[in-house]
Amino acid sequence: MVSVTTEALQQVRIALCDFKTDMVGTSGRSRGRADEIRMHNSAVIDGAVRDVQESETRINQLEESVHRLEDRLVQIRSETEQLESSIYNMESRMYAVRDQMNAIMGQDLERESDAAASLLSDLEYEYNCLYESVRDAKYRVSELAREQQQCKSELSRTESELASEKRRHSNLLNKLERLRNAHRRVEDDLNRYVSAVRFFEIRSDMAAQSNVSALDICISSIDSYLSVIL
Amino acid sequence: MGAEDIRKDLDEFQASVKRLGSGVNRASVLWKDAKFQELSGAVRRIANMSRDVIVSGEECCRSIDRFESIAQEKY
Repeated sequence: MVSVTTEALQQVRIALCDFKTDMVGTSGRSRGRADEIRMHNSAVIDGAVRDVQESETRINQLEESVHRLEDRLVQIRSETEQLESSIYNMESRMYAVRDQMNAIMGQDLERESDAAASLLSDLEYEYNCLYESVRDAKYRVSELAREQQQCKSELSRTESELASEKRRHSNLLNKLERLRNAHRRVEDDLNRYVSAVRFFEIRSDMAAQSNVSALDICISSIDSYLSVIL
Repeated sequence: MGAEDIRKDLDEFQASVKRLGSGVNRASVLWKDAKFQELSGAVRRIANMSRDVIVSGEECCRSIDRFESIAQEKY
């Protein structure tokens, strides 16, 4: 038995047409969203790659600094050893010169006064030269000791910064790898989503259109039926 | 942007499917024969099909959220 009114058919028709209108462009919109997300993710991954590269550059700079400081420390040690050896030799010579001077001053200066005075003068000159050289060398040793301390503390700070940067680099690499994996998953899910929307848009439009057409026939039939004059 | 936009699209999509169902159900008071049951069945099939869109869309949002969560990590 048939039990329907034109009003009911019109209600359903309006609902179906509204639905069809709502669905127009859904797959295009989902494709647009997917493209935006792909572009955004690519930009994020590019940024993560840059972060890793910058960290690598920083590690190289810090490693160069460590090598430079280590080389300088070796040079300082070598120069200090040379100076200390030189100071030892010069001081030994100074003791010898002093002994010679004492010996001359203990002699009878009356006999060889001119030659002795000349030798004494030479020895004094040599002693004074040695004294100044030792003083300069000791000053240089103290300068090197200060520089050595500075280099050691800079080396310690740089090595600490290098270790910290290496940990950061490892974290950045790990992050980049996880971002790439996560992006692959997003890519797969986006493809599934866009396909599902596209499939739904086509199938639901066909179904809605088929029902709208059927309803049009029904409405037309009822109108014909109602227009019959008995 | 990203997952939020898709969630908004999914909400609108669900609302459209729901409006279709409500619109058809409202007619049930004035349309009580077997044809209405057929039409109702067709609308139910559309609603069932819409689940694939919802499920795949929600999975998409979750994977985008995971990506964003990693992207926010600071080192």
